[in-house]
Amino acid sequence: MLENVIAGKEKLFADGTHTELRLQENRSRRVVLVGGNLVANGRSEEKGISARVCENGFYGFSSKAETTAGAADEVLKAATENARFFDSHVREKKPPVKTVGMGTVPLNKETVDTEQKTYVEFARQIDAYIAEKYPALASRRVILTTDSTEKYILTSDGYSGHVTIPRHYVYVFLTANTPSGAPVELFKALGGYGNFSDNFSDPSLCFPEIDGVYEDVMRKTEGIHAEAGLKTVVLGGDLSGMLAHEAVGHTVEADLVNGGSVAGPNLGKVVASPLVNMVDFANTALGVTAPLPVYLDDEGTPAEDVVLIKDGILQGYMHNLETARQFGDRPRGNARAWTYADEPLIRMRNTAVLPGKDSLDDIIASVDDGYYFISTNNGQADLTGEFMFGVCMGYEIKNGKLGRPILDTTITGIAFDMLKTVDMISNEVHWSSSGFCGKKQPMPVGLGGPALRCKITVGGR
Amino acid sequence: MANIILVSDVVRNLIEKYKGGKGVYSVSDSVLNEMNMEKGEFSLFRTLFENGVSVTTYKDGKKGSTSVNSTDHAALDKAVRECVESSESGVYDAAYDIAPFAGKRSFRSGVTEFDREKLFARMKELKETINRDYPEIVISNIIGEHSRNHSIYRNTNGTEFDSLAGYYSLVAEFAAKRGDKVTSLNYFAFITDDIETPFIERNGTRRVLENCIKQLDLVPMDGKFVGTVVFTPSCFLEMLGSALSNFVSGSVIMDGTSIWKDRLGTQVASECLTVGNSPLDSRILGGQRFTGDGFVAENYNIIENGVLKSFMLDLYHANKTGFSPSKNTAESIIIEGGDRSLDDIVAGIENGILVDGFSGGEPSVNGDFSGVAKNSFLIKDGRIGCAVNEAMISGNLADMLMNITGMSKETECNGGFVAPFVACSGITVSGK
Repeated sequence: MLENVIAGKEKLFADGTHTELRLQENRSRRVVLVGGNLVANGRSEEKGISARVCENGFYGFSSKAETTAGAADEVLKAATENARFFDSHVREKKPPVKTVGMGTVPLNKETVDTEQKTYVEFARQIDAYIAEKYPALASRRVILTTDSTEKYILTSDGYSGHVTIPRHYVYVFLTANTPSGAPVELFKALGGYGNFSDNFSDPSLCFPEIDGVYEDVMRKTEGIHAEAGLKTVVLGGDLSGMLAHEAVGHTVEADLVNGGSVAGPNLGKVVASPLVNMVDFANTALGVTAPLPVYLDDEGTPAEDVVLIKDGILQGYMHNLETARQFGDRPRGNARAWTYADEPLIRMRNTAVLPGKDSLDDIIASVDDGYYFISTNNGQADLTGEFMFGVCMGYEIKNGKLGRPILDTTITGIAFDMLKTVDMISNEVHWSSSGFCGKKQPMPVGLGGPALRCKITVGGR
Repeated sequence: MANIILVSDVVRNLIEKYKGGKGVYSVSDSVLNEMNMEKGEFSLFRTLFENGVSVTTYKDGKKGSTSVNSTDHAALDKAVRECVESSESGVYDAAYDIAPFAGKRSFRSGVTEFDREKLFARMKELKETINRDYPEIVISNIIGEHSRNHSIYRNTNGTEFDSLAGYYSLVAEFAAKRGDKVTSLNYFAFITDDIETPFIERNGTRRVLENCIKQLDLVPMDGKFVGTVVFTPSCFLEMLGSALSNFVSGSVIMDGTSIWKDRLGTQVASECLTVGNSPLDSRILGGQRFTGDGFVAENYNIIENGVLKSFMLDLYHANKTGFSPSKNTAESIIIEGGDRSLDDIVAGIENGILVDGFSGGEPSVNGDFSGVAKNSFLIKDGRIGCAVNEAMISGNLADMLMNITGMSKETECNGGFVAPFVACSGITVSGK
């Protein structure tokens, strides 16, 4: 049993330190079919043990690609030496960090491995369906991808536990040519949290979603370029989730507040319309299990929700133990590491704009001249809250009705300015969880939101 | 520390045991030491002891692959068995192959011994220099590291490459702050084998810090015009990278979505543009020495005087499309400087914008792009003017490469690329 490797190792933790010992395995599997050609068919496993020691405010970390008791001893020793190297070279010390108490978090979900041939067969059935039903497509890609993390965490003065996050997705990318021969593309990710059988019992259950992607990409071949400038738009749930994560979430990570983010001088101030509420959910969101539930972070803090914006007012930041000490706040389980060889960083879990009271139909009907942006293929923001989202599916709105589809475009704005223009919010939240957030390390995160009516700058031609 | 020769021998024997057929495998052993500064203060020191084993087999023309980081016999046995099982569950494709025997070669590069005291001193010196010379800069974090990697690569045709490399690298992220005003996050990053020279003296470093401070006095972009964009070297490389991915990479040539699929030997860019993919150039540190298929890497030109000379294809995509495989599978881009100074180029621009970062949606397969011009300055009547935000640029990557109007003689090199400032006309610049 892997947990036996770290059992009892707390006796090796140095006095007066905060120490974490983590044994972890990351598994990923990937099948890629491009036009029916199997270009990737692989399995990857990465496991090992790491220790992080905080002494006089300096952190030392070490990891080893072994899961043995001897490796645990080695990384504890090396991490302690590293902390002491800084301690001996830097004059200014910092006060100790404070945990929220001690206890144990039970296993949330068993992870179940699946044979590669099951993945290959499933992806081929999806691909065969597309090839047979939609021969007019210019190209198609089917990607079946899974990743799971399983961690045993032991801490000196925080919680310990055994936690997992398994997830499985099938991406379908479809490309069609416009009448002039220019290719346009759309994709959709199917699947979510859990083991393969939790998500994909029968390929035919995916077919209606694939049909929808096909219909959208064919409409897109008739698309027009959006007009550049400040427009009234309806952002679909994909985009409001992206907004919650990229344009607000990152600015309220306390390490980025320290880096000078716009959230620093705005705590307690109005940053959005009073209709706007935003939360980083830990493991339960709006009464159901969150898309990627987190129960315990890698510093030994049990996970709780963090309210970011309430009725338009900026309420708080996300912390690790160090920034919680610095800001006089309480950590709520945001310190997360991707592999055993990574240190915990302040990360989001499931960040969302909360739903409002309007129906999507009413929101669209209220727009005389604008756009309804539905799908995004990427997004970025910076410390100022200036954001950029790629829009890969949307429609113009004319006199309250959807008009022609648009070609790929980009929208941009300053989050705390743009959020003040929100004047209608739909009553349904759309979640996504297939991507990775990048911040030194990748990290699976959930993001979600309702449709928002707002003013935003469109980068057309 | 694992004996990677012995582990490689175990993998070879297991491929034979499980009748894996043709295959490639590699075993690596690495140590990474990384010092982190947060808020300008030393905060975390990491030491990672890593192993890696990757195996790909093409049993009966069907591909499977596994990678693990354990080197004990049970883990290796499971990895090779699952690799071969994955092959067996795969799809036959005559294009799967490995390179013919390429000999037994040894490659050594960089500095393989980590000097902990010197890295600490260089990072401390960098922080103190920034604090002294640029007091409005707020350092978010600085990460300095040294990595040492020793690997054995083999294929079942008998090729063996033994590679040992060690390099330092640094990335610094910062913003400028004055009162409640704060700029976007800026950064510089480089790879080096030189731990003796102060990090601040790397080319481009002071330029990025100075421009970051100028961004404190920015004004929102207003209006819209079609003009010339001058890209900084790193930003042009970013745009070029998207063009290469969309127009010459293996997947888009194979699936036929590249708009350059029939353009080999024809003009696809301005005559002044030559794009080398040159991992063996002395300015590229830790560049590729051999490909994953088992070929010894060579330099080649993707674009030469504006003419498309080569796609970027590994052996599989080359076999699928009928072209020759590229001479390397890296992306070590060298673009030599032109014959005019940046000042001269700017002096000839009536309406334009200098752009140091592009935050845009993934460009369309046809090359259309639009996004935010980060860290940018308006150019008016031949002079670089005020810093602007909320500026967007949009155009088409293929058109942009045909409309290069100037390449500076000044170049920047970060150990992974060499490039000049590049001016491109006909791009739409718009604000609110």
